[in-house]
Amino acid sequence: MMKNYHLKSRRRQTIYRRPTAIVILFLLVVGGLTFLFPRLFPQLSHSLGTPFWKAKEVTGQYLQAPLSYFKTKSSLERENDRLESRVQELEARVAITALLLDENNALKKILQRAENRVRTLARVIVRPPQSPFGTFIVDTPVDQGKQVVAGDAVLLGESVERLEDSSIVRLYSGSDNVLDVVLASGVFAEAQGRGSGNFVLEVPKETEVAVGEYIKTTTESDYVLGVVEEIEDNETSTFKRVLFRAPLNLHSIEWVEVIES
Amino acid sequence: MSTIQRIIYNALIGAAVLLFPWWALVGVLILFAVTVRSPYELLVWGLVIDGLYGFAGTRFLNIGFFTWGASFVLLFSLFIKDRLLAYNR
Repeated sequence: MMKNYHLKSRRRQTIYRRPTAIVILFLLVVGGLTFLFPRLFPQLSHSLGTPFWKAKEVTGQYLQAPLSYFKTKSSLERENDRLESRVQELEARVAITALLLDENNALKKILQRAENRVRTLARVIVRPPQSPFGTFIVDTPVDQGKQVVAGDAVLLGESVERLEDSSIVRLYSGSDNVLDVVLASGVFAEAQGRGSGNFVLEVPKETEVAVGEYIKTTTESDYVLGVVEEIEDNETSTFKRVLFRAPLNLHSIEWVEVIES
Repeated sequence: MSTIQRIIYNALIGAAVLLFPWWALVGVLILFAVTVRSPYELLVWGLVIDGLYGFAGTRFLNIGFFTWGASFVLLFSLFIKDRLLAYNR
């Protein structure tokens, strides 16, 4: 009995040594190759994945129309009502925005700070929740560190990896990202990304914050980072917790613009 | 598990890598690790996922998050399977 037990134990030990050795060898090879050629695996993977994603984007456009026939009449009516009220709300905002934009441009001309940035259009081929790590993949090579905006004035993130035919853009709302922001009242704060376009920040209790106000980064005054959605004011705490999010649905963005200069 | 089944499984993982949300992909990978006897393909899939979606901030010792995860899941699944009677039939 004793001898059998020892044999089994020895057999088990040799069984574990083999997979462990294979995994360690694999990790050493991968780590070594990545150290020597940092873009080898991303470039190989993207050269396989990008054609699939581009095809998916194109076919997705044609598939959406036929699939809409399967929606129920009541759900379409509900959606129509919701969208109509949203359009009215946005039309009112656009009217004010146009006035403010004219005034802003006039002031910039007077102060000789006219907008002279070059922007490049890029198509989003992978977006959350498909991509882990809160990233977008765009079909244009973008230099590392270049900022990406959507919908004219919403700051989304910056390029973190440039490949031959595509780039990886990391969202500022990534879960471990910390950003310096400024509130509409001029108060500076540190915002923490919460993923999928959500952020959270804490400000002293007496700071004036309102739901719906825009929040910008301290470095980019021309672009909006998010809109305040909720304010958590706890009686026992000396701070307010402000939850804000990007004013766009990140899961359905098709095009973004890269700020080139 | 037959070779055909294994190929089908890997095709499903390939589709999940390119088309599914990341949490569905993780689910498929865990299912693969649980049901397949020696799921060594996990290492390659981890490498592919890191290649597609990873960047410098998601690497530790030049190895991506998913490659590390796949290595641990593979070793853990082999360790567990050896101790479960259901896998030793």
